[in-house]
Amino acid sequence: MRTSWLKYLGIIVVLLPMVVMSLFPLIVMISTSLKSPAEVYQWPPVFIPREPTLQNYSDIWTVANLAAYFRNSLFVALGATALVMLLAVPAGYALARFRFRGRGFYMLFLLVMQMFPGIVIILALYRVVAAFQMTDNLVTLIILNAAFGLSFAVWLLTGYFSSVPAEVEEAAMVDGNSRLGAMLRMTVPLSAPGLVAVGIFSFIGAWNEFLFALTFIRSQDKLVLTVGLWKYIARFQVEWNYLEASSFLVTVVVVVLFMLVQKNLTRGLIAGAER
Amino acid sequence: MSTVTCRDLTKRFGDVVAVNKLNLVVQDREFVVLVGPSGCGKTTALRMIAGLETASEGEILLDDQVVNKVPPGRRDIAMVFQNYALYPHMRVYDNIAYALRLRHTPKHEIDQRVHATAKMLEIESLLNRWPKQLSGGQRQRVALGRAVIRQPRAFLMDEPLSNLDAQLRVAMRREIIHLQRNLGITTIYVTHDQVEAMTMGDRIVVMRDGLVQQVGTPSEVYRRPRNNFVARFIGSPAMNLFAGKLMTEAGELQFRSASFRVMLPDAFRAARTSGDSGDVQLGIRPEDVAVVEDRPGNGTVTRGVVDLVEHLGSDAYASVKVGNEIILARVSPDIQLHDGQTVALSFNQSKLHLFDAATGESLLTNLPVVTLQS
Repeated sequence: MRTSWLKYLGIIVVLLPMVVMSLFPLIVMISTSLKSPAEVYQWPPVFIPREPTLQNYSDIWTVANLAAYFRNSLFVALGATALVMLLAVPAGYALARFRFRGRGFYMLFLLVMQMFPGIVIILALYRVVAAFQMTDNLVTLIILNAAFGLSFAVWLLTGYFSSVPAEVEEAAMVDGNSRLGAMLRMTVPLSAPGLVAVGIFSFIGAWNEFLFALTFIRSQDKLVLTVGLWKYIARFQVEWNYLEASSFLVTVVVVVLFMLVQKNLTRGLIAGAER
Repeated sequence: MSTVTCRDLTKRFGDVVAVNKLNLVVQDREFVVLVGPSGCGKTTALRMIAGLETASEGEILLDDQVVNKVPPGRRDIAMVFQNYALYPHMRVYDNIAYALRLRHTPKHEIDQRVHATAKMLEIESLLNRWPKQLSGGQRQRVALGRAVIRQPRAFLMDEPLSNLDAQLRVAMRREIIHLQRNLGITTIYVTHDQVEAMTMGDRIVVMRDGLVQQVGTPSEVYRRPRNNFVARFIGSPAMNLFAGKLMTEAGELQFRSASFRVMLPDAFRAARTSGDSGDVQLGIRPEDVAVVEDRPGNGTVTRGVVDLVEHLGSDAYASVKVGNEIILARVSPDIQLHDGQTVALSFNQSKLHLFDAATGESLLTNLPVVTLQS
């Protein structure tokens, strides 16, 4: 009993600072979003507002064009997700089922691409987008977000598809399905958790994306949430209560989605290794 | 109901020849077993017949129709896989009904046939279960049901019993034999288990390294193995093989190894080795070696020291050390033998096998059968 108690204490001592560090900004965000402007600047600051108010949450819709930002973000995130699914499903299937020359290299290539920071190529990317006269266009964001999310999605789906025994598909083919039919009626439904994980992950990626949105979108009515918050709510003077209230709304979407997906996400990453 | 024909069927994976010019005609209603060690190409051959692998060369015919380019779903064959390959997201009923649904069979007919099939296989009570809720034996039955319901032109079975425990395997073996006979459907069955091959097949095809070694009825393959590989592979425990020379002494044909010599029947005189060396292998199955009383005129071949006795209940096998060689003999379990005891051995002269040491081919294939099966 003594040792387990000590161990427990040790774990707390190690983990507590990390928990505090990662939760602190979130707590500040929630706390500030519930304060009146006067209380925001009060010194010393308090964590729990003395007169909590939801006023900020109703004001933000008029202070900035938040509804439009939400709409644009949703459009980009859903579009990117759809595009990722459309491309990653066949790619992941091919990598899981077929052995072809360069397969190993391609898998490695995907992994390396995944690590590339967007900022390194933003200049070159801008010239390409400009050449296609696609600046200030939300479709550009869909394409770029999909492109950057694709490698991870393919990698994850390859693992999921590999975990479905090939014999199940072969049995379906002998029973009368074509290969495509067997894929769509066996492997894809059996990988449903993986598809959901990839979908939500792509969505979150596009939803949180800032750099491309900042670089390629100029018109105010086409701004997405990340840039909109940064540009308008925090432009002349930072109105912390509004900023934090909007940030909270944006974050809630991500947190809820991540909670839905986290179990499937780790399962997908392991699935490929198990075989 | 139909015949399956392979003509020079070949499969290459890069430089590896998995199946090399397989020629085989499986007659209507026949049960043919492809048997061989792992990697011998038997499964690849089956998968080509199913259409799951494309043939590199050669033809596959169902009846008179070349089906090389026909996709698996249109060949009207059914396959049972080693790991059953049930559809995990469908209940047992839907697993069995799937193929009929793909063929747009009317609903009431599907229902009737699913129940008839389930009844035959005694899985009626499982129709509402999911595959993961079934035991290995039950899954096997569902997999069979999925094949049987279609009344296909041929059954292909890829080691369907190898995931079952020993007792269940024997029971399912009998069921599959009955099922095949009752339905009269041409069947090709792949296994690495020579006991399954011997007990189930009307004919056996022994394969090794992609090449067919011998095709024949179980008794033909057992009694007249065409080469030393088949001789060792079929039969358990394996046949004794001894390296030595053929020579004639005082007009008598004999086999001489480093440790002992055996007089050979006159019929063996026609045997000719590929070279002039006279190097051969003599083969004899353990049941044709007897431990005898050591007295003259008793057919004694040699004497040796008992190394180990293994009791199987109904039989016992004695390993007898003669010089550097071990001779395995089947003995009555009632005989009291102890390790280190010196015993005399005799060979059944009519059950001897002789192989060319260089090629491994039997030297007896051209000899008249009567002299050998006396």
